[in-house]
Amino acid sequence: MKSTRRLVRGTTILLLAVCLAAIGCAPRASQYVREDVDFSFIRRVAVYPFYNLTQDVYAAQRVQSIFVTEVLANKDLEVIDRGATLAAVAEMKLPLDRILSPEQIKDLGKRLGAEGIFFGTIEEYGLDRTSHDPSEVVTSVYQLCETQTGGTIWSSQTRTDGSSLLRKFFGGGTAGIYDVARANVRAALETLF
Amino acid sequence: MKTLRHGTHLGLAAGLLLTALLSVPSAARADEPESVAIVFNLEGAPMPGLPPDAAVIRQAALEILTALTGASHRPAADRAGTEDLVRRHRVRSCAALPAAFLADLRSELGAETLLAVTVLADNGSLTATVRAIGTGQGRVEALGIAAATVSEGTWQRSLADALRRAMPPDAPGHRGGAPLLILSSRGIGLDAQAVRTATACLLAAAVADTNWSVIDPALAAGSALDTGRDPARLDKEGRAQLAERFGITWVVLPEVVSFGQVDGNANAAPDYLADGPAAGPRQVTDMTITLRLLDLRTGRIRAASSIMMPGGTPTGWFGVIHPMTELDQMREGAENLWPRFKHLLEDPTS
Repeated sequence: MKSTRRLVRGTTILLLAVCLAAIGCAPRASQYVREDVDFSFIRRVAVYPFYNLTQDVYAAQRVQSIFVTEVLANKDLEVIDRGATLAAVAEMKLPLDRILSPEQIKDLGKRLGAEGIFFGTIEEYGLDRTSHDPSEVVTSVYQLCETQTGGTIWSSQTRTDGSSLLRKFFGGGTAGIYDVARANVRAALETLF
Repeated sequence: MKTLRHGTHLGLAAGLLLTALLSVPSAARADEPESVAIVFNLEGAPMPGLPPDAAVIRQAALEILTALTGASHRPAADRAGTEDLVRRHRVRSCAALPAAFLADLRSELGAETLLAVTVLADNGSLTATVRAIGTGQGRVEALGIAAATVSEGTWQRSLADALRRAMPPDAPGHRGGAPLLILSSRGIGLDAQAVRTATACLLAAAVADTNWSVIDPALAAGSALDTGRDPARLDKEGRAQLAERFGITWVVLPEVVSFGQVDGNANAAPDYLADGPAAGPRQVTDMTITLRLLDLRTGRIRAASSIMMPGGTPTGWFGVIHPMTELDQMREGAENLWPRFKHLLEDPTS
């Protein structure tokens, strides 16, 4: 009787482990959340143009498009239109290829009436051919800065690839870059919301 | 004498008839079919099968369009007069139309409707987009898109085919519903022509929904040109101007993103890609279409809806390949997305 229970428990644990391993687009994330900040204070946010470190010229814009939709899907935040942000960036002559200083973040927040500003850097985007089994990969760093002090209150570095055990078992190949990018954004935002 | 009297009677009768005929026009004009002004744009690049001189294609297209409007009992407005207004208002494409241009079409030529026609020559096919725009308020009354493949020596037939199928049915006249402004799409990873096609597909989906009175985005672009503002960077003043100009409190911002993901065709032999039946005019990649609702008073996005359209070549049972073009993909995406987005629209307008 005892041995049957042990067998059932063992099988269940094994099945759970296989299921977890088989889930596609498994992301790896490391994040930082400042503990002394009341996040409910942040209602209105802007998204600064993402910075691109990849070969694909459109990588940052593509991921940013997904990012904005996913932030909007979370009803807690109001997102300022990209056009208004770009107009403010142009008028304030802010750099798009460098990190903003706390003073610049404070000024931008004041101008847009935003309590927080999201920043993003796309470090890796596209097919990773270095491994034995090529798969789509997205690695990114997202940050949220509050505009009262210009300090970072949340940051997440996430790497997501399109390979999974299920896909390997059934010969499905890698997940598409859109699915991988969306999984990447979701994994990062899960650590915030 | 008899002959003279007879002649006098005939003369009187003819005079009365002439007077009657001359007096009729004021009443007949009311019954006369509305005239239609036609503006034509050719976009894209020269390609095999098309004459190198764009003026030849333009001339042929205008003749086909005049015949098509005539067949639907809506005579084309004076072409020379239309061209004169196009030059006077510096209308360079159907994507940006000044409001004064529409007003002059109406007042000077008596055109009730403007047919803004764009033909895109790209990768072996002609894609025609025909927008019927009311010259009174600048509303899109009807819209049609169609593509035809060009083969050697048959460009006239292909052009006529694309234009005939794109020609929308007679406009339903005044459309009810709240005004709706969909700005031109922002494209990421797509060329300008593909982005315009995407905007046209979204407009077609919105126009098919008779609950809305859709403002032509070319008017917003024309208004932005007049004021020197970039519609992609709407600051507080830009939003206020749009709200005042069109009497609206929100606009729809479309965004089309191509993910450049290529399916198994990437590994296919080049000759298959060039000549195979499934190759199509352009490789179709994964694409998302996103619609965002911008509140012009606050500058915040009130709602958003997105759809992902997979690329590649759909394969059915027994390996049967169903060729899909970028136009098919965009049209399907727009038609699927619009009903979802429509529900989000209902809240802000209520």
